[in-house]
Amino acid sequence: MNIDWALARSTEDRYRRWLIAYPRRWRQVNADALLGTWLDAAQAEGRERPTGGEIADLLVHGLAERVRPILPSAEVHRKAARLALIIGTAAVLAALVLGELLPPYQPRPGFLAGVPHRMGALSTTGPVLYLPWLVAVMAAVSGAARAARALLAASSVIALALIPGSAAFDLNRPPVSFLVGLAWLAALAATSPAEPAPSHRVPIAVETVLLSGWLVISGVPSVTGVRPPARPH
Amino acid sequence: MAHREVREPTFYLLTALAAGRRHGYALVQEVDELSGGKVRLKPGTLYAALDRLVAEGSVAIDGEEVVAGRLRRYFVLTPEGAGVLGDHAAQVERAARVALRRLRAGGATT
Repeated sequence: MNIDWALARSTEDRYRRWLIAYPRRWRQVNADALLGTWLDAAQAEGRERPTGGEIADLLVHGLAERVRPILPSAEVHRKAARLALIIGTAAVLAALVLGELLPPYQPRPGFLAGVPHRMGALSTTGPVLYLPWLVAVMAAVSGAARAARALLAASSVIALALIPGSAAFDLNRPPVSFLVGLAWLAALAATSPAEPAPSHRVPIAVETVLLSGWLVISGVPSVTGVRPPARPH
Repeated sequence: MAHREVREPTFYLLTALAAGRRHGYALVQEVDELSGGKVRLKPGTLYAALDRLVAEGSVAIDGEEVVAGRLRRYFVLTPEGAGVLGDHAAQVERAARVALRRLRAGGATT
């Protein structure tokens, strides 16, 4: 068999870089075997680059390997994934409405003087994360489990990438703690060992809407300010 | 033996290994063929399933070799895995027999 080693090496490099999705200990044991299988498949199909579906698949399973050590069982992981989906979606919706869609925050004269205000009117890079997350949730509750997993895995990566990415383009971003938290919730939800059963999809949607509604309704006065009732003289 | 849930991709993986040791890409091909193109395993999914089956004791790693600069890891079905596959196949067969009997009793043609 004649092998073009330079081509083989560059193809291998293109595939190997995606294995970073897996934790180092897993890569040390399994990376070469997985890569060999992946390259065999690519060669059989005449490809020199991974497909989008293969990359999404690798991101989901790489994240799952990272999440697995801290969850004692598949059942705990499944329940945590459901909670992560609901809480993360509520947080995303609240951040979108309160932090991006409402008019810019105008504090009372003298209040927070000198403090920079970065709330409202699409003022941060947050929507780059919020939109794929919300599409993922819609996919999850409509039964498109594979698309939901891929979008949640992508959301996890985007949340982390926004931290250096926003700085590189000198753009405002949501707080680091918020982005890291969403990255974690997205990873948990994307790597659930089982898809939500059809009978669970409506309750998930209802719980998400209720929690999101509560956060937004209670959050709007926090952002826009509430005038305390006048004291009787 | 405790009943273990066997999903479709796992069923085809175990069935592919029932014929002997296989490496990763051979399993991808064989699962595709056995399922009539319905189950197409991507590398991430394949290795996640194999990791789980090895941890459960249904499958074991059976050596590695380097072919054209690529590592090939071989897997075999363990006696426990053969038991899991046999139990599941018998269960599916029983369910299919019941369904066919009822269809015939009800006058439906098959």
